[in-house]
Amino acid sequence: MAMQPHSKKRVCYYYDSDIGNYYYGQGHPMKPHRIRMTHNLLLNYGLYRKMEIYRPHKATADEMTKFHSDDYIRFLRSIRPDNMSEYNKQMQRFNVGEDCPVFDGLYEFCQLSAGGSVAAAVKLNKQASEICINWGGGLHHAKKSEASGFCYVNDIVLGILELLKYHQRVLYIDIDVHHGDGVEEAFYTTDRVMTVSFHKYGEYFPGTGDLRDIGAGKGKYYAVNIPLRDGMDDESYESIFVPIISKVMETFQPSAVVLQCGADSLTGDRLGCFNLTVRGHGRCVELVKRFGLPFLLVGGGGYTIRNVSRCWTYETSVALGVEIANELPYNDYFEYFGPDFKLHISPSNMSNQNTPEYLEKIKNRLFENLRMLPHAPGVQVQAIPEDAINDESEDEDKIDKDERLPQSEKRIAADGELSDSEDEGEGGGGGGGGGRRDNRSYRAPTRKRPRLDKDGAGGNKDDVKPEDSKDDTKSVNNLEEPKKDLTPNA
Amino acid sequence: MAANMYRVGDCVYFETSSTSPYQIRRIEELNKTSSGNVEAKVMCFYRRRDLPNPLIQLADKHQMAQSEDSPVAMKLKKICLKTPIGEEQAAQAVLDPAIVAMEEESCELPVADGLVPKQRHQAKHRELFLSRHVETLPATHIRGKCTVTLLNETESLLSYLNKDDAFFYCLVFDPSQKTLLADKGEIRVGSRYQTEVTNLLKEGEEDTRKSEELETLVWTPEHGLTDRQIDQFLVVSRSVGTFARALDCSSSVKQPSLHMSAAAASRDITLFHAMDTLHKSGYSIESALSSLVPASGPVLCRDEMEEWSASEANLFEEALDKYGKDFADIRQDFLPWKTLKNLVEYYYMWKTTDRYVQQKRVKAVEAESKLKQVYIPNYNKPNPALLPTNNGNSNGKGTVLNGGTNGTPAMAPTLCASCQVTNSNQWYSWGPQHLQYRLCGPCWQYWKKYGGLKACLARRRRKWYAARVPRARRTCCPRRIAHIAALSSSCVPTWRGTWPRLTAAARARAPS
Repeated sequence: MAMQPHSKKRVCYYYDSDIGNYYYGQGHPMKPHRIRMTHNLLLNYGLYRKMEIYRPHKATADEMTKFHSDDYIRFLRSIRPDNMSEYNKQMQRFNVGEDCPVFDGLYEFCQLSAGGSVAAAVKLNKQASEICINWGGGLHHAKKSEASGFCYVNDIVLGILELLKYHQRVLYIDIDVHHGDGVEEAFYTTDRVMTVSFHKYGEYFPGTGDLRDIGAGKGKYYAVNIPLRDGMDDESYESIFVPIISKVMETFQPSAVVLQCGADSLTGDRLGCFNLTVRGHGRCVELVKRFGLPFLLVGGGGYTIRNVSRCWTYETSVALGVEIANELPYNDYFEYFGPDFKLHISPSNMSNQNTPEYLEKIKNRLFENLRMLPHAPGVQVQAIPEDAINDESEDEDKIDKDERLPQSEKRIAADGELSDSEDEGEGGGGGGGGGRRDNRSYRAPTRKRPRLDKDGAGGNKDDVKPEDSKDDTKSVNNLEEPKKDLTPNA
Repeated sequence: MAANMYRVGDCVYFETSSTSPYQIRRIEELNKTSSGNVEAKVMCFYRRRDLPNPLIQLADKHQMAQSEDSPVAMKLKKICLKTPIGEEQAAQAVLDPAIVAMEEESCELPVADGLVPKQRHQAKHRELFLSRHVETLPATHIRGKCTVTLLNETESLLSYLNKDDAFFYCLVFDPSQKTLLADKGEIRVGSRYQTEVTNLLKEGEEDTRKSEELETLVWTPEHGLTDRQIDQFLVVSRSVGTFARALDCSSSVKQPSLHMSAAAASRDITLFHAMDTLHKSGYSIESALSSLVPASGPVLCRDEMEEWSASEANLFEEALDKYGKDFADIRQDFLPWKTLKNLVEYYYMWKTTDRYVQQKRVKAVEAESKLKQVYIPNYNKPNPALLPTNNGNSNGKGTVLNGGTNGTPAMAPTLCASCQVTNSNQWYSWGPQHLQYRLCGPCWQYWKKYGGLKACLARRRRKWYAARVPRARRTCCPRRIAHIAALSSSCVPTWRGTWPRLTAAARARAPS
């Protein structure tokens, strides 16, 4: 009851029908077409009709320079395949040319990718959605003044900057097989964004993401890197993902999450070297979703495009909380999915170089770092119980649509209204854990927003509360269960 | 036999010389040659013994000399390079912090059991140096699998020693540039790299962002229609599309049968259009229906796949053959009336057709020379170094070590030069011929795999050497270092480059 694997959420999805026709160049592994393949699968699976579908605006240079340098964006705007020769020097300076080629419509492509993530972030800020998806985004390597690893404009950084207007702390999680260096670097010295990247490390692009890279200045301990080796399978991945993310949630207490779902961590990826299945990859989405925070899902890498579209289709279904059949529906690109035409894929027999001992050691080291965060001691992980939310939303349906607040906000209000003392009393059974719940919950608003005030005291919230906390505990157990199962020495 | 199946990506031992240790390579490609043999394109890992040892010192010097801003210096700083002091260390320069720690630890411990120094000695055999150097070797020279992983600071070296065929690396060696770098990028710090962090909106502060300017709604789930109704509308759209094709002259040429028209009308473009129509009609089926059949006739949605004529399709295939997927060139020379987007869209749809599948088969046949894995049976031929049995009494020549300083009798050949056992099923002749060293079976195996001796033989001999050569002389004569290096690995090192001239100078400046 506490944790339904799939629960209904209000999902907004960003897509521009032009995206599939941008072409990086002959032999280039990055294929925006995969986003269109995903889109067509979503339509034919009947998931399309269950979401709000938006065509994003094209992000303006002004929006992009919130992060990027002016001259870099000016360069991206002016460079074209037919005038490249005039820009030799700048191309070198901005690392455009080889991995990041100049292709027709490059700037527009960046505009759409960034436009989607920014619009999605604003959507979450306005509490007009609980989960936003932009598979055209996730270009995590792009730097302030430099293209890198097929990425030109860092839509994620732009999205997070938007989220920071309303959220004191934003969590960024990256499950691409490559290190999320662009996002990490952008926020390396701030304590308001924690970046957590799970990636192959060692003789691998982009070369950053060492366990010892933990942030700098005020951002020290706010960069979390999980260096992994070839052959990560579903089981190992979850065995490290669950404890790390739970601990991060507990100590950092973000009020919004961005998950980069790079699908090159799937088995059989053209550039990747992990062995995850679509299910294992999607499991991360499911786990993060359970925390019930405003949630932005973006794409990223992924170079075996049939599997990328499988993966993102499945993850859209997870976000929606809808089960979909393993049999792929017919669509324009059906032949790509042969010979089995199934949604799910099997892992290969490659060996997993990540031993349980190795993962355990990494985990312990990261836990040590996370302990350095200045957080209230003894705060418990609080996954939001889905059923409680659903109960609420039933009541809510009666409210006029425009006045309606997303559930997470309701919960924020509920939390804010309850005093610590009430919680303490409740937690008394825990004995030693007196005051285990801190009112500085990651869901608690750091500032009251006008709309919240309007909402005022919804009398029913107090009633919901006790049930909440019970479920919180339950959900924590559920979330950590796999860890116990998977790491024998835990 | 999974053990004998070698795949692309595997790290393996290669035997290129019967008397040298195996070479450790990672398989990048397996290609069948015209003669039917399999060639492996491999990436080289270097052993410690393969490196010119002055390189390490040079790298170290470089680090100290460079300003903070040099990226190389920065990188080097991140790993703890320790300056080798005497040539004892120079011969096997200490590089890794973990090894350093281990050595320091072993110094503190009262070395009673002798185990710790031995492990320390052996750990050095497990360190490799990654390179970007690629070479091609016959796959039949593969002698087994091993693993090479980037050493993680949380790991102990013991975890490698406790596992057979397990190696680690920390640094990348560039054999042509003769450089050594940490395999590590860096996150840069400074206003040129970090973003300015947005402030939280203050109480009452207005967010200037308006969703209406950022997005256009094209579908909402709050439509009040049932799934059934939507599905029905989709069928109707397709029906209208089929009828529209029947009315359209150009379509009737492309789709001579009703069945084909229906299939064309069922493509995703029609479905997306139907969904858009529903949305634009405010999810009223009735008004959506009427917009499917405007005064101009039933709506006809065609994608690139359908839009293209047979001759255009032929041109495209011809162009693809000629230019590959260079769509700009294809457009310019073959299909100038199409846009690039037309071409890309068509290309991805064309890939679902039979014609592509056929082409792919042709390609697949061509690609057959590229293998994913290869089976190499265990290699059982005796090594030429294997000595005939019952050959224990050929010793006693009392060979004198060269070097012109002092001589000493070689070890009795009946002893294993490494572990000192006298009993072994097999004996291998090892080291320079005139020294007549031999190794027992297990020590020979160890030598082949790890490129050193199980026991710290070199150390003993170096002690002997140290006792006879004044320290001052030792520290400034690179030839001697080479000599020691050769002794310690007791074979010609694989490294055949000339010792960089800088070495002597660098060494002279080195603190000793």
